[in-house]
Amino acid sequence: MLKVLHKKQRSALYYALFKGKKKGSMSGKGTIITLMLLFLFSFVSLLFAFVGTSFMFSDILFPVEMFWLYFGLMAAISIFVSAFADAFSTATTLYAAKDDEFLRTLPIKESTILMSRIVSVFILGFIFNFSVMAPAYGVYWAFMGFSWKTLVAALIMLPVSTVLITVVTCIIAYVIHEISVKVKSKIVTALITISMLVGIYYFIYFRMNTALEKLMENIFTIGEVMKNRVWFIYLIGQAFSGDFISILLFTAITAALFAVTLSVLSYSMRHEKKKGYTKKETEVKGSDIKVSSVERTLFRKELRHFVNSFPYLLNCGLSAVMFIIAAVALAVKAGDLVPLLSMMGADVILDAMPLAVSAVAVLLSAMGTVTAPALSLEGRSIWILKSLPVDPKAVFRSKSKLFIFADIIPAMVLVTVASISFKMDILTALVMAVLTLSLLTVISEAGMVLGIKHVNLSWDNETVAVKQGVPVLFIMLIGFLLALLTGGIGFLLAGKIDLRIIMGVLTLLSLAAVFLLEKWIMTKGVKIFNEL
Amino acid sequence: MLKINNLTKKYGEKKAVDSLTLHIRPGEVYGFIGHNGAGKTTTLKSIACIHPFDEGEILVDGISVKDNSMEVKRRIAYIPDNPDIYEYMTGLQYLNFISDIFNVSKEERTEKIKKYAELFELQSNLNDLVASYSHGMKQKLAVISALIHDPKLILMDEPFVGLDPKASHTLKGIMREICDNGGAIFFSTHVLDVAEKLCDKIAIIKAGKLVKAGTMEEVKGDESLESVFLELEGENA
Repeated sequence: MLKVLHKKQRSALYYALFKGKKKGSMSGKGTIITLMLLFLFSFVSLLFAFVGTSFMFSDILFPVEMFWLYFGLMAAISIFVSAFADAFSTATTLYAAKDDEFLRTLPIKESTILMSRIVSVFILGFIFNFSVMAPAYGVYWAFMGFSWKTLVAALIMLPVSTVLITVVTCIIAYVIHEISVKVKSKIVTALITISMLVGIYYFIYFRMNTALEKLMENIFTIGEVMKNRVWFIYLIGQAFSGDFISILLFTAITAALFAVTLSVLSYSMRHEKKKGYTKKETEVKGSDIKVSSVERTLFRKELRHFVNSFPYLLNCGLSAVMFIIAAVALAVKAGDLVPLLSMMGADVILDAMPLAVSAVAVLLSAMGTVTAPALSLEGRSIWILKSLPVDPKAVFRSKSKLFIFADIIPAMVLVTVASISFKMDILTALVMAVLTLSLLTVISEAGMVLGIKHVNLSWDNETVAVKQGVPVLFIMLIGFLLALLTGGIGFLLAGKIDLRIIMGVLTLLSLAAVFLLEKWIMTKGVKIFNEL
Repeated sequence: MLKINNLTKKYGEKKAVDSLTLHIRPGEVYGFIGHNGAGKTTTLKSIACIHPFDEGEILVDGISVKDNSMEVKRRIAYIPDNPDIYEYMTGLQYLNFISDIFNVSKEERTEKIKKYAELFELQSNLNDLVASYSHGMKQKLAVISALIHDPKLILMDEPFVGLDPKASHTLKGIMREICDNGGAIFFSTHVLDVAEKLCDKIAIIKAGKLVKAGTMEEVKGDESLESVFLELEGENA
């Protein structure tokens, strides 16, 4: 039964990625190849990033033969990265699956339904875990030599530690779900959750250098303290480095934790009473009825969807939060950043700062472009827009307006703060703002084009549309390339050509791209919409 | 009010609707029956401009669906068999949304919302999120939203599924009232008793083809609609 349920989930993901529109035909070869390359690129990037981290730790810990601490730290990073990366979609998968009621009517044990969802969490966790621990072992074997003992430890510990990751992911998902149930406003919930995660991330990131310095100075003392106080890290480290008693102990503890988590989740799902919906039971008053224009009512519909859908808000609202965090960080830290960059000899970054700001804006925006999943999110309600006397162009425009609300306004805050912090002259600041605006419009329009071209209306879980669809993955790639291009041109040409001329040319090119994308949306896009 | 001439709709090579011709006049409650997959929903969706069709012509109030779908949509309302309504809106927000699209004045929408919400006993739930509604409540909301702009033609796909007996009775009364006032209703159903009592005319579709259509007397004669339907189903099996 578990196999059957998991097959169903796999086919939903497969459909979201590889099938085209409503008719269920396969996506084009180009799409599939690009998607594969994108996955490969992301995977290899992750591997390389963690090879760097492994080198950093090995430098300090190998000479003093503290292998347990090396593996312990890498495993801790793996658990942190994997669990937080997958927590939001796990919350939706566990608690907001549209097929939940249907599955519960079938002769399937609740624990089996739960397990089928947890298996998906395990698989994703394994991929993340592998991309952290494989480089860790690679670096270890490169310096300390290969041993069968560590290979066996790796083969046992990778799946077992993934079970622990699954447990941690489910606990975070449970906390996210409980917050979303208790706090009525989805926006407040999303802000609390995102801020919490970003806060933890930056706390660790900013403390990393200081922590490493302290580790180098007092390595044995810290090692002893960790052994006694953070015993679990010691245990994981020992297990990963091939101590079989530690492997057994770790496996036993993980199994016990998994069993407890499973029973808690099972209980919470059994007693789930649609707590999120508060019944007001109030009569309609005349003042509740408001008249709006078609454009306004369509935009309000989009906005309501955005602020009332947890997966949508968390994934696509992340950009807005990141823009504001970046703006605040810049306002506070710009004074330290300028001398630091000059000291590092990175004057070219300072010269190309306006372009660097635009590139960062593009990168942040592409992390959660609202236009990319917007059409797919209509799901089975698409009949409403299709049967109403609404021009598809107006539908697309309303979705683009949401982008202005979620991305462009926060991006302009960042641009304003950057132009003040880096003391740019008015003309440069203005050209930078126009360039950023036009580049973000390219992202918005490209997201819309991808969203129309690869629309998926038959999902059971909004996360599939928001996080796992082709448009969302492709727009991240496009954003990354566009940011690289913008930043790269800045670094190459800064000091050689007036930056304002470069920005002017880039603005014109972006506007040309916007024109072409808009033309596609208003012709082919409308045609696809009518045929859905 | 509705003229369907030689409508053909294919899914790949399969003809879901095959050269269907049907005319509905103002004041008629027209029933549409057929087995599952016969082509009822496809026909209704083609009229509602949801599905494009391959051949033929559909005219609503003399306006072609192919040439001027926007004008057609202004004159019709469609109620699907499974009312997947925006779960992130309250019932009232949804009705306001529909009213805005059809440019219904504040006074008119206030009056209609109050009237129909009371008739369908939904008034105390209109400020709740649609996500908290039962299937029947969503169906009632879909019905109210279809009535809010006084459409000339209402297309209903299995409208009684999920409705409680009182709401079903209310809906039948409203359907008759709309047609008495010059509107027209084209609805699909599997409940043959309802079709027999409610419809002025009936059409039977089988494997995409219209096998019989006309007034109730023309279609069933002295027999019951159920026996005629089962006979026709058996004939070409």
